[in-house]
Amino acid sequence: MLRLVIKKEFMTALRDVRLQVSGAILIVLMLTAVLVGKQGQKQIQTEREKAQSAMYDTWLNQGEKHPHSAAHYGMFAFKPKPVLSFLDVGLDNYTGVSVFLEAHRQNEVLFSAAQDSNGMTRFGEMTAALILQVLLPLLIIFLTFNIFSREREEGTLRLIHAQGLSMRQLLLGKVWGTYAMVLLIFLPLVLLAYLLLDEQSAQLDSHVTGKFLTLAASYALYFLVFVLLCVLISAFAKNSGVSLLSLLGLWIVACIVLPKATSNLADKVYPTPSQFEFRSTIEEKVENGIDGHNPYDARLASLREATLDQYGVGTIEELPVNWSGIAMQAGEEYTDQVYDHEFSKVEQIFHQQNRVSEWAGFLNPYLAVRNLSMALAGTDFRHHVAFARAAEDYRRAFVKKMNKDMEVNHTPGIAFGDYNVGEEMWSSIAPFAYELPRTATILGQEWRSLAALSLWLVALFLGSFVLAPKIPKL
Amino acid sequence: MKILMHILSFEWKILWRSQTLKVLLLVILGAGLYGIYFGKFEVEKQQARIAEVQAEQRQRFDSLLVWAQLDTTLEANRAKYARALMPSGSDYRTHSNYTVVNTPSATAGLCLGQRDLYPVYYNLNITDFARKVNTGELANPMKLLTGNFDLSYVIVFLLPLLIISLFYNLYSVEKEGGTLPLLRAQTVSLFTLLLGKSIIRLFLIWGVGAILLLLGFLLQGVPLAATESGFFRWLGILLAYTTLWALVMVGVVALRRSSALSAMLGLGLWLVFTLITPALINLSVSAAQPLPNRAEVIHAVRTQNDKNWEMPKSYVLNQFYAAYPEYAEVDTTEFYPWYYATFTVLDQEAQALKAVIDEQVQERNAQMARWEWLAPAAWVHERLAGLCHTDRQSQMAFLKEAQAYHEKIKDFYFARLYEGASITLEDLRKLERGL
Amino acid sequence: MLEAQNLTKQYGDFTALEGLNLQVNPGDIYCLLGANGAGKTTTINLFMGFIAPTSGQVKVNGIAVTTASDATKKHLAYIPENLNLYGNLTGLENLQFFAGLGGDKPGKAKSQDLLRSVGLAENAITKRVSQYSKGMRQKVGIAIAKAKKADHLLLDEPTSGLDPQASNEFAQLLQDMREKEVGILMATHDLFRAKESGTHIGIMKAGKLVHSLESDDITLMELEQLYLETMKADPHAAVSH
Repeated sequence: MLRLVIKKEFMTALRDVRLQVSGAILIVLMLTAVLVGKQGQKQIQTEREKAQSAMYDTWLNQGEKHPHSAAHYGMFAFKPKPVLSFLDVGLDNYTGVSVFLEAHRQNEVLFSAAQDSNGMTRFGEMTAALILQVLLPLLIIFLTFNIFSREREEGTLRLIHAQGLSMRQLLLGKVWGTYAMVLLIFLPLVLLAYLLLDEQSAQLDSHVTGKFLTLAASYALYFLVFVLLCVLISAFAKNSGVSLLSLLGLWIVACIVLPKATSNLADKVYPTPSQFEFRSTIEEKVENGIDGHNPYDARLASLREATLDQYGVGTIEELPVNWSGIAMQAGEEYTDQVYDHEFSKVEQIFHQQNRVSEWAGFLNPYLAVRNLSMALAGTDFRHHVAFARAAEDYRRAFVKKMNKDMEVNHTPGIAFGDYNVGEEMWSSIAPFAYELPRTATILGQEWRSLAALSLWLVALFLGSFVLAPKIPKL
Repeated sequence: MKILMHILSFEWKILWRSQTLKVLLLVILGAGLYGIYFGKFEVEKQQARIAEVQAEQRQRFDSLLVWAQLDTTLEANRAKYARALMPSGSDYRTHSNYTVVNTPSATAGLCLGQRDLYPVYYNLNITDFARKVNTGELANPMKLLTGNFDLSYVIVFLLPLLIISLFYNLYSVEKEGGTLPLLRAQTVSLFTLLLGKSIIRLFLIWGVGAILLLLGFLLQGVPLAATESGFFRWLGILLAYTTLWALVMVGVVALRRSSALSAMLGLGLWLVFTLITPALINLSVSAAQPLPNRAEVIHAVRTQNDKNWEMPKSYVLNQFYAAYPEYAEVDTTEFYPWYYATFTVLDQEAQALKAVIDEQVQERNAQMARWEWLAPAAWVHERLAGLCHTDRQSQMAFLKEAQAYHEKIKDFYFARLYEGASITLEDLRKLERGL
Repeated sequence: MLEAQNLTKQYGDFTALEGLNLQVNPGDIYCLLGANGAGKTTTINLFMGFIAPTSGQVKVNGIAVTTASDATKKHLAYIPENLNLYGNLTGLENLQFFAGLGGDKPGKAKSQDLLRSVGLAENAITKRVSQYSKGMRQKVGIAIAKAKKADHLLLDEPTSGLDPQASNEFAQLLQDMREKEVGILMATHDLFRAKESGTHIGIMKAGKLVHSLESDDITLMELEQLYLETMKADPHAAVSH
């Protein structure tokens, strides 16, 4: 009997001209977004790879110079454009794309696309995510708003009830029938996107298939939540008009107003410090010590004592190694320590802000799927931080190598201009490579959003089970 | 005319007695007030950040003024004294910074625009300009993505929704409510009746919009009459934009579909104009024209820097003399004149490349702007941001201003450095007043 | 005077009305009987100008409805089967609104008089219409018609769904209007009401006016007999008068 209802709902939806038209529009939009998006992602990634290797070449061909000059000459790290960013561009337009890595300084990841674009960018980019998160639910509303009230107004609901079908079965039938229709629209997109995952994609991210399938599954889950919610509301609405207006109102609040309000609120609750504050705290702590009682001069003096003791000599001049190299590396490491301390504070604040929207996923499934989708597409804040950290680690490693070489090989007595190294040294630093986080890591970080979606699903199924017998038949 | 007035007065009664309208009006007013409050909050944050750096600037001047009067017979004082009064500073790594800030306009809180993407200040000194502006402001990208809930958002996004909800059943409510046959039996034409209903709704929307605008200006303390406030331009844009939406909805109503379908159609058009079209334009532009790689400028600077230090001093100085012929007579054996000249060469190199990149970016933005008319919401938002000086153009103007200020700092220092003069206390006071 | 001359209305292949000839003079109450889909409502809609005829003429006081729909509407008042008014407005306000659409809005006192004259209870006049019964709404409908001072009244099954008392009151109001020389054309299923109130009775079937007679010429029993026989008969049989 259930299958009969599912089939009936599916066929009714399929034969509705208005749904055919809006469904077709959605499919065309999605296919365009995916095809054009993939092409764009590929182009951007190619350009970044080109820039990355061109910059590495300049490092290799910088000629003979002192290792510390080379550390000043520096390197670049370009953020890879994540493969699945063509499905969900996420924060990609608002985060920097490259960072200059040099001695003594932790530079920012700079040059976000938004900074170079006029206000239009703030209206978002047409990606599959936008369509699936915002537009498809609207189609679901269109499919379901009168799914009960029409039968009630036309009297067929009483007829069905008289035939012995329970309201639970009817409700589930309508849910699965509608869901089948949604999947019919969703699947071509999944298929096309899957076919577009080419060699470059696999090279960039070896876990891409797993992420993609998880992403598709999350959306499938989200649609089911939305279908259940809409059918339930439709079942208890006084009439079609009330049902439509309440569903549309809900949609506007959930998909348009709340996301903005949530992150605005988060910024109020956990205020973002200013760049000025951040930079001057670091300067201050480097100068006076992390605890404020260990000034630079004192640190340097005790380092000198320790070094002199280590080599058993009385003066710097007697040291068999390069004192500047040691002092510089120590200074570097201290700054790193301060920077890490301050940076993780800022990062923590941003995470706290983002956590507000993660928890809000329990109230608004749109936010849950948005966060999950961004994370799986590799375009969320955590991915940005992971890149920034990888670039910073790379910087520390190569600067340390330069300092170490200077400490050991630039022995006292050799004038600054007389100690130079060349390509052999440069090529001992491998090109910057950044591995995108694994699927399991991402899901572990996004457990709140996953839990929120699952909870919504369970609660709605339970809710329909309990409430179905109470659906008004007149 | 008499009949139209008759229709208006009764339609007003019907509207005013509807509970839905009251709820909608409360919601939009609430959203508007929140937007105004939020905008004010954000601008105050920007102002606080500016105050913070200005306080530091103040402190720096105070130190300089004290250091300039130190007793140089004491060894400990010499570096500070040199820092204050020697044009070359105490050593080649320490330079006095001067802050230039981008003060928000009086109406910036009504449309926060693009300001949240850029730093509100730059610290500049006698060295190069190119690397000094490679800074950002700390901002959670998630917040940048979701955007600001300011008054312009309420006007551009939410007000059209109010229009849709007021207009969608203009005709169908009569049909579905059963009053249509009786209306059609009267001598008045359906057109006149719908015209009356549209006019009263349009007036209502205009009223709501104007009230929000007034509240926005008053609560943010912007004097309406001041020409720079742009109140009447805001009002003009608001009236035109809402009228456009009303016309769109009249078009939907003219199809004479059911309430449900009309509501869906209205919402569909809202999506097309505020979301789908801009998103499609963004997608096509970002796929067709990837942004140029600005890291190239940094690369150019470091390469040039390498060259400056490797080549004989004449390499730098010859280029420097071309730009500053008045200092062509300086002593070429000294370190400082050469050292500060290197930065001018760096800036020239960076500037040339930056100009090319800016050109490309400009072209890309022009491409986007060419399609702006297809997305009225984006068009209006861009105009409002322009009125409030919070758009990208205003940021570019600020950058130009910062660059001009940097030139002034250089001119000030160079005039003394290359003439072999030192800075006087009087000079410092002049600097303090802002050159 | 309402006149239909050889009036035909087709929707594609379907003929809703075929060769109707009909005349309603001032002071007449012409009742159209017939099954659902016989063409009663089509006839009324044609007189109101809601739809255009395929062929033939509809005239109101000698003016063709097809050429001057607005001019003829001045002479017509109309009460649909389900008379719906604005629920948010009171009966008084509804009357003022609809009557005012014709160009002159009746004053408050006059409107109250009108509503009283159609038998609306005093306390109902200033109540919102959303609390009215169907009978009360019909009364406001009559008041609107009266306010218009039209010389014709067209009614589409006005008494369906009314209880006998309301139905009786309604018939009384029609008689009052007839005495004021208003010509009334009414589509109805109610044989009893047609015989009692009508001066003329027409029986329609499949788009044709099969019988047209004066109500004084026939008893209620005979009318019922005739009606049932007509419904049974072959729709293509010759038309008799």
